[in-house]
Amino acid sequence: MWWDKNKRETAVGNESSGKEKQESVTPPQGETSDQQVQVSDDKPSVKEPTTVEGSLGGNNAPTAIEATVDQADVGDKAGNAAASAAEEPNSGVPVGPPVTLLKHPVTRLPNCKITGIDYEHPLAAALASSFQPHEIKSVGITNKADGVNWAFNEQSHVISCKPTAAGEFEVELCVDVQKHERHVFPLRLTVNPDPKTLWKNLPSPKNGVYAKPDCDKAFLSCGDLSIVAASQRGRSHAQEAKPRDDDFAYNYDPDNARAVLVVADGAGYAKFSRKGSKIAVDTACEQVAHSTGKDYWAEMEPHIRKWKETQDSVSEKTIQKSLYTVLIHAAFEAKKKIDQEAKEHEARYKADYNKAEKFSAKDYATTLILTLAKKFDFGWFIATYWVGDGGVGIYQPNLNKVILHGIPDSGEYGGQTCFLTMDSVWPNDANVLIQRRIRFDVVDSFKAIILMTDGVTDPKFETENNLNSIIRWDDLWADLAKAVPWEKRDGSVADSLLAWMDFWSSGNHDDRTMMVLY
Amino acid sequence: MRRLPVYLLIDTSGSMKGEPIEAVNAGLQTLVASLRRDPQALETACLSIITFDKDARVVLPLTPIEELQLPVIATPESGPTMTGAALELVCQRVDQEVRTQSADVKRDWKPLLFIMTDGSPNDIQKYKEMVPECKKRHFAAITACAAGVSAKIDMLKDLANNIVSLDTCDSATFSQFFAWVSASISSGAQSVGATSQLVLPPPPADVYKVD
Repeated sequence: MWWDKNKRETAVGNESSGKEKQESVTPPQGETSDQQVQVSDDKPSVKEPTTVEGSLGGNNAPTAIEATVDQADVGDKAGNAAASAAEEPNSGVPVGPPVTLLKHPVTRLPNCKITGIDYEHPLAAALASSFQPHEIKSVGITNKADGVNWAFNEQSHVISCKPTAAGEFEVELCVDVQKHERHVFPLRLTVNPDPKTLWKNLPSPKNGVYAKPDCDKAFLSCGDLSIVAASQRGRSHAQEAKPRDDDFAYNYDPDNARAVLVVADGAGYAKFSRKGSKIAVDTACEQVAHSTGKDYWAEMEPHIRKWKETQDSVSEKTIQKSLYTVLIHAAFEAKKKIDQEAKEHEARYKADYNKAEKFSAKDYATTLILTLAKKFDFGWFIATYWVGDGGVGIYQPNLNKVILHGIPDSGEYGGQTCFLTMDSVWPNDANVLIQRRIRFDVVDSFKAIILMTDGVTDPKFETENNLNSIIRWDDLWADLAKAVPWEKRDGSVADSLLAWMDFWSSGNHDDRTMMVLY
Repeated sequence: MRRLPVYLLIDTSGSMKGEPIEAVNAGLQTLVASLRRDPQALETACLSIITFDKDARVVLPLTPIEELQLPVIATPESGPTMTGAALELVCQRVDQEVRTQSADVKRDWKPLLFIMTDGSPNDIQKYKEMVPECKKRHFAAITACAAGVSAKIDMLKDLANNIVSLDTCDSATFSQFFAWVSASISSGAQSVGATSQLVLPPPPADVYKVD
């Protein structure tokens, strides 16, 4: 035990001040001391608690003398008396010299980040800055019954606890020093709640305007390959019973071995972006599927084959021109549909509520990633139109390579991006549009083509540069492989992908959508 | 993790001494306590406090809510209100602390600025110079609180896109104000993906919105 239970602790009110109330001090850790200690209750003026980084109790410690002893007894004589008292256990007679009790202002420990973890903090340095090592006789804590389970290691001077509830907790560190002084340092600890316990999962209104299921998933066999998709409402939306703003759509043409993959992320601030993303994916998917039939590929195949062999600029221009009519037209059609929906909704609103309310495409703001993939006997032709954030990559781990299929849009601050619905992403110059928004490649094979909204890329890639990092894609794939049984190639893959979408990442709680062709 | 930086500028001129500043301290405690209970704020919000009287100082650098330990704010006996100096300091701090525009780091959300004053700037020249500087920092919202009858609302109109006023500087009113600040920060933390100006929740009964 850190304290000497035989020590006689006697203290009287400070005569000079005269206004103190007398109060008994609870003996440490439930031990009964054979004599009660009288201390004054004269609170020091409210001072800013110091943090434990400095010395304990701040620089002018001790600031509050709660009780003092008869000054005449302090000294060598008293020290000898204390020593002899200690050798005389349980005599029941207060033979030792009185001990001065010095109460210091509150010191704050660094916050405990969340409940349920093992918290510990070293106090050795703080003790060393307050006392000379030879001064200290013993150090310990008075264990308050507050459910925090304080503990103190007398050797290492580390204080620890395992809080089960959030809140503010205090414990007293008692330092017995030479000259019969006990310094009491109240230590205060703030324990944050575990954010996981604070998130609520409130369903979005089933019959609300543009209602959408809070999650969605899909699986489709495509010859040897499969398309799997999952979309999960983010915790930040679930907390507020707001709907999911992400969406996805896909199409596979078995006759032409051609897939269309589409994901979209409705802007968080736009009130109807859930509908914007839905219109965007459906329209774009349908348009591309419609314009890439047998005749289209018959016309394009020689150019794509030639480009694969020679990478010549003539073939490249031809392919880009055709992608302009396929992908960019599809994206623009989606934008037009959104403009139209805004107008129609305004009219409906007026008819239904007899209220004039202005709606515009801005209220439906959404990103769009639109990927077209077609298998030829010489390899895979893959083309993408991308506006906004998120990410799309052709993952080729056997080549230790990922082809990021475009350039993400980002602004000066977090969350800023471009949307399909903005006029600024539609320059008049077709070449500018192609250069900025269209990307195509021909590859022999791939492990997967992966499309993601920023709900996935933000936590998994963190920065734009990391979207080009094969290590990050490898990590993502390894993480997925632990949860998703890819080889099963049935609906359970989509179930597992959707379940994986619930992964925990502090501060990243946006809607998450992922589509994989593998 | 993307941070939501929140700057609180608090007038500590002599007129705030006594009950007003004690109410501010109590209000800040409530503010932080309620942010700790909001998962989005707990995970993303960072708070900085700058006080201003005869000069401006950072009493709390930008700190995540989970690590935050509130200082106790004190006031001098008397003295001028150097609001312009406070704006200059917050611009410097934003430039230093808010992470923007890089492909290598995770960008912060647009910061929020709250300024609370019970008077009017004594450094008017500096104040007028700093208003456009503040605008350049792209705060998602600049909210001014005119506390008490002496607060000059007109001066705040150039600066803030939301202004509220408090009739009295007592603890009940401040408590409502800080509860509203907390709700505003929470709504800032939730408007993930926002590019437009932040729309703040409606203020409570004793906090009047000034149009």
